[in-house]
Amino acid sequence: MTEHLDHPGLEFRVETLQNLLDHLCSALNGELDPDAGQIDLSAYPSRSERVLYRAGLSSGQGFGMLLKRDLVASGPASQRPTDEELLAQWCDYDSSTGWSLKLEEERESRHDRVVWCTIRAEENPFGRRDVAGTDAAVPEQNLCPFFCGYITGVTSTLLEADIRVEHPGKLCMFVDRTLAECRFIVSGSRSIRHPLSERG
Amino acid sequence: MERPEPDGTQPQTVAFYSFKGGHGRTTSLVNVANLCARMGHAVLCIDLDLEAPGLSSLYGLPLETPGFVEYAADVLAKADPPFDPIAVDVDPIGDASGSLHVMPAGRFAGVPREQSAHYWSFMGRGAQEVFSTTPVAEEFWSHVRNSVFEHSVGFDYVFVDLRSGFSPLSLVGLKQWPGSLAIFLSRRVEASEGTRLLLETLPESFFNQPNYDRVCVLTRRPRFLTETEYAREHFEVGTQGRRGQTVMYDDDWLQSIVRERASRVIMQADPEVEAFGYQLIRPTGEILNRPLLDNYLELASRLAPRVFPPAEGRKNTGRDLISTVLQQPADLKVFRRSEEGDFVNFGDMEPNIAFKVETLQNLLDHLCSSINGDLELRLRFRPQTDRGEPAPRPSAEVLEAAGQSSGEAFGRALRDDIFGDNPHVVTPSEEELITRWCEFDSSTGWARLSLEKRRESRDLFLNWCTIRAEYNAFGRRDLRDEPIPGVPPQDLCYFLKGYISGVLTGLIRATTQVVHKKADCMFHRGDVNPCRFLVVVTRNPDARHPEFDGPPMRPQPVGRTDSDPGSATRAREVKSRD
Repeated sequence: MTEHLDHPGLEFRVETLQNLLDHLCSALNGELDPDAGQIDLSAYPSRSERVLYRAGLSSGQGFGMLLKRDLVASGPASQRPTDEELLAQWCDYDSSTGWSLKLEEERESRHDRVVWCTIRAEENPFGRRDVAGTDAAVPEQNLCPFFCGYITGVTSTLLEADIRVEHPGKLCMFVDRTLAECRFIVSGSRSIRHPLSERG
Repeated sequence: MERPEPDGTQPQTVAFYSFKGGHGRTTSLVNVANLCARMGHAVLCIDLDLEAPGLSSLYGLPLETPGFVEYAADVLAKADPPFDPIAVDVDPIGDASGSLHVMPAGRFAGVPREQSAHYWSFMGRGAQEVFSTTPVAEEFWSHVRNSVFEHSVGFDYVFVDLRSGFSPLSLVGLKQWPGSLAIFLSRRVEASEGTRLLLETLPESFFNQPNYDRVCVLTRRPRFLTETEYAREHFEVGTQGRRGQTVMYDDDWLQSIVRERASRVIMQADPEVEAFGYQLIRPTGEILNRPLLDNYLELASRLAPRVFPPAEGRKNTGRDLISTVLQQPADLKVFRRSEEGDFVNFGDMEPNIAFKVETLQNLLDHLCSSINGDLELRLRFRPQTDRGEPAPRPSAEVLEAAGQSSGEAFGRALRDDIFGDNPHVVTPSEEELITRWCEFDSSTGWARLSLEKRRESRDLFLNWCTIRAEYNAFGRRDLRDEPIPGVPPQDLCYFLKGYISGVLTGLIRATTQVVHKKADCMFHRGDVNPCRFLVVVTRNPDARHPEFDGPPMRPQPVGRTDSDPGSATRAREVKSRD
């Protein structure tokens, strides 16, 4: 977390911010239907949450492509990072910008999916509401769907897998104000590639 | 024995000095030394702050590690000891293969007790011999320098941590280790005045090399030594660097003070909070506004020019070093303003933008509430403006309102920060306040803001100015090659427009009106620079600029009336229970 005149802060790529605001403004102006397309948005009841998720997904995919280019495509195949390393490097990278991500291994099979890990976002800037609000007249909104979409976008692009990110209320700082972090459960349709098997 | 003169093959020596302690001197030395070593140079650090040693702690050396005192005692005893600094591991940047050696102060504490007793015994007797200007002392230091210069490692740089204050230890260090002198000071009057007095008092003949290079480094402390510093001002390289914050003055700053005694230097910011720059008022009355440079990369570049020689014909400002670092697969995570005003993440060279969390949340809450119908858009929905232009769309209204409230909060905070309760603060003019805000927010990646022009109209009791916003993150659209399918680009400048109005309202406590015509907007023009915002400042509520459409009205939560101020709180409580 960074500081801005003694207040917590965070950094965005300008492109990410523009993408987020473009989505929201387009929805507000009636130019974007958040329910269009094949994306499963059943976990997000409100219209704004669905727009945020879409914005996060799109931003994450864009950033995931950049990361993939830097982390995967630039090196020889024998040096290709494993799934775990890619996840860890992404968390390291985004943590330096105030997003404060930590990776926690958690392997578990659930029906047709495999839980890969839990992403812990300490003092998640999209979920925390312990900082003084600017305008009390405006109702607080749950912004975590943006983060869910972002994680989905980054991981699915980076790892080339069908990724699902779950963020139930009991793991969300916005819903449970006693929490100090948000936790996002990341699962995939295939097993995570293990370093040894991957590198032979 | 004569001290060898630098001839390009000798190591370059840099003495780190501060009149007062705790100004980041040793921290800076460690960061600069680490960086030079990582870039492939052989570096030696010597701790001559014998009364308050710090290098061994910063490098994690055991307390029982012998150092300068033990070596000096042997030299005085004619034992001809080897100069034996401790090698410290530093990860290289890329393929560079530098080295870092440390000569700690000595066994000043720890067990066995007789070892530290020996240290303090030396400080009582031996130190008096060597920290003086006697022939014995001159011979001693000549011996030390030769040992360093002729060491088998072949050091490129020798960084010497000097004792602070006005004492034999510091003065002899200043005398014996010139080459470059990095002087650390803060805006605390005791630090800057002490430094000035010391350098004015010492005759040039005192120094072995009178015209040596002096670099003044302003340190911000202690607030920036926490975990919540600005990321853009970090020098964070894991175990390879240490946190802290330095700002480097233009290199002739202190000399200007020393040589122009009638000049006054005005430090207008709270010394512990923020440094926006400084004013040098010359005897002629000319006022020079000087910006401050920052970060350790620039400091390293300034102090270690051999590593990163400047391009021909210009001074080394650090950009060469930064360019060099960027060419390496470094793990540096540094944010810094680029020359164009971008807030660049050196990890990927992408322009970034920094937000206070509360500002971002306020912006997104406004938009999401409006999307969900929780916020009533009863703003300025008119088919067209008074000038016949199409009316702004809903998003424009919401963005502007969000910007206005975010800006007001920040403007008030900035004003409190500038004025605070510091009795030394000189009351700035409104123009100065606006300039300071521009400088502050220019470092956050929002835009490169500047006060372009200012006019006054006494008839209307109304002032106006133009805020120039280059590389406006809300207006520029040059970062993405193709738009996102199904998501048309939106005019986000309305947020900045509201924000500017809000900041100035909070900062100068006056009513402000902001006009941002399409012809002055990067987004609508489709080119790069700049955006211009016409700001009208008035203390007369009836005064109205002819181009102004009217202020944004505050959005209201659905179902709330102005006479029911508690409804928002109740809505929040209900949301919280959900």
